[in-house]
Amino acid sequence: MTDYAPWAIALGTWIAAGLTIAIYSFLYKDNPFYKLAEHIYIGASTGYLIVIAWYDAIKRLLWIPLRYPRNNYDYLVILPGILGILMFTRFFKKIGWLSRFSLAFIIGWASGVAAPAVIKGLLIPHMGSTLKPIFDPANFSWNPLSIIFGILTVGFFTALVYFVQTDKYTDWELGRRLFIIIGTVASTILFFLFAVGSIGSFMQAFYTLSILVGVVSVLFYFFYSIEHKKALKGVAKTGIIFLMLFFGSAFGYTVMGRVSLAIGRLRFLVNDWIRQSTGKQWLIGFCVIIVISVLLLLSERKGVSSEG
Amino acid sequence: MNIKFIDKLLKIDRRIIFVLVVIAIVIPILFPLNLPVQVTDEVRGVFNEVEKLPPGSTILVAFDYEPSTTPEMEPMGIALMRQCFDKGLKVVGISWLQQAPGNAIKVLSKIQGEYDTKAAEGKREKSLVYGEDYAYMGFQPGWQAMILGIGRDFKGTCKVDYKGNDAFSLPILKDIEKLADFPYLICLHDDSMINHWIIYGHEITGIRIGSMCTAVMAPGIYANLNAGQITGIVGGLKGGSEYEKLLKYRGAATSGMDSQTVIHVLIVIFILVGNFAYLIKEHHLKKERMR
Repeated sequence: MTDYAPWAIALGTWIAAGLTIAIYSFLYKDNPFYKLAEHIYIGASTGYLIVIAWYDAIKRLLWIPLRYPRNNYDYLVILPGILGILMFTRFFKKIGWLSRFSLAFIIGWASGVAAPAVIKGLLIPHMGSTLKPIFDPANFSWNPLSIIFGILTVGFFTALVYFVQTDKYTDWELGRRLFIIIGTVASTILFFLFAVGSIGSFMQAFYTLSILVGVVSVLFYFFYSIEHKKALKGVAKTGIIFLMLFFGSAFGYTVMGRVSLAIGRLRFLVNDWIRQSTGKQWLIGFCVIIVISVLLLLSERKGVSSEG
Repeated sequence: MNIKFIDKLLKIDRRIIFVLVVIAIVIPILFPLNLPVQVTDEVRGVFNEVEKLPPGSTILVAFDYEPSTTPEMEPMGIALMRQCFDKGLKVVGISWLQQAPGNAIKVLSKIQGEYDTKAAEGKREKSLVYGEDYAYMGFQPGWQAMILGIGRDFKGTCKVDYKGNDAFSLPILKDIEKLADFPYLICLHDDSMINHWIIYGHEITGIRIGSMCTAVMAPGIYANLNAGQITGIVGGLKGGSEYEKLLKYRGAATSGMDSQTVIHVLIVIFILVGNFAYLIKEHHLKKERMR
């Protein structure tokens, strides 16, 4: 697709390496190299976006269809073209109100398209996946043990809700509290194990139940029309636990993502820059760095003395 | 324990931590650890879907990531292209993000170079031909309208590729009329672009979708996986390394995971040491207050 000359690749590598080090130098402290790299980044990305917008949007979708129409429908692009031009009227105070037509069109169109699509495409399928049966009917079986532990689960859970709701739970000593909590959890786990028979099915049922409990408790946590007290406080607290688990996993993934970016840059510096550069390139590179450093330091000093 | 040392530990200069992080990243780059990689079901969900396709099928690849996430996304893109072209699949690329074309062209150029070399060395019958084996439609503005548009008429909506060739003249698009004609779509994304593909693509046309995304995006789209809207998730450098393992080579993602693992261990140590020092300090202050 695109072939570059070796000198262009070497030059690109040196510029990229220089800018990477300049940006990372901010970790030590703010400095002129960082400022230079920051300004280059903003300028280059803005320029790049303008070029892409011109070639891939304005020229391809507006200019060419108008200049070389394939059929009469191509002339219709004039309408979005006018709406696009109207957006620029925001730069002029007197006619700035004209841009509202474009904004009204964008907001109206996007809302009209998005509202039903989001309900159909996200809300309903996600609700559906939450409402999946906890047990796979093919693996589920009622047997004496599952019936016993099923009754125990219902009993322990009902008792827990009853004692919390009647404020008796708060007056209990630790031993009784632990008994009812462990009883509820243990009987639930044993019911699941004996009802499904295999660890794989057990885990599947556990995941489905976790999603159901997580969705209900988190939704309840954000439901403020009822005061969160007694048993309902327990539901809201469960919601907080699920939220914290999500934040934890999301933060872990974020750390992994950010570290990956650092790995990418350092791998570039080690493999593509240090290992690939020749002695001649290092000599030229050092000379350029020294010249840039002197110029930046001089301009920095000039700036400081003029401020003083 | 000496409380002065604990004080020093709690007020450690952050630049020392930065240096330790750099060392932890660079050492595995210089001396690879070749740590094992375990493949997860989420990654298999994408890999197997591509493997199932018969040779000659044309898949759509949405390159929707920006240069800032290239280190995470590029290894996945390259692995995916190798899998597709080794299997004899055809690839049509497209981008909804303005900053994405540079990344897409970089990946495709790299792959073209690789296959040119293979063909020159006689390892392949012929190299890849643009327009026949792959094509890139470039940046297409207005993703909502575009996805709805290609759902009805792909060539009429995209009109030209990134080189300015008429979409109707590209042999690769000969049998493609609409989005549903692609048997599979893989979205390489660093933002929520997959949601638009799901809402306006999958839900309307029924096209099957796989996600290759940054680690930051991965937790958010598990809900889509659970709802059966996507076949799998290849998330971050870890996902990329799993994909490379399935393709039986150690690429940039796998080698990056060495550094990733060392860094994660270091971060866990930082957290433990920091909390441990904090608790000791608190305990010491409590004792002093008691006196």
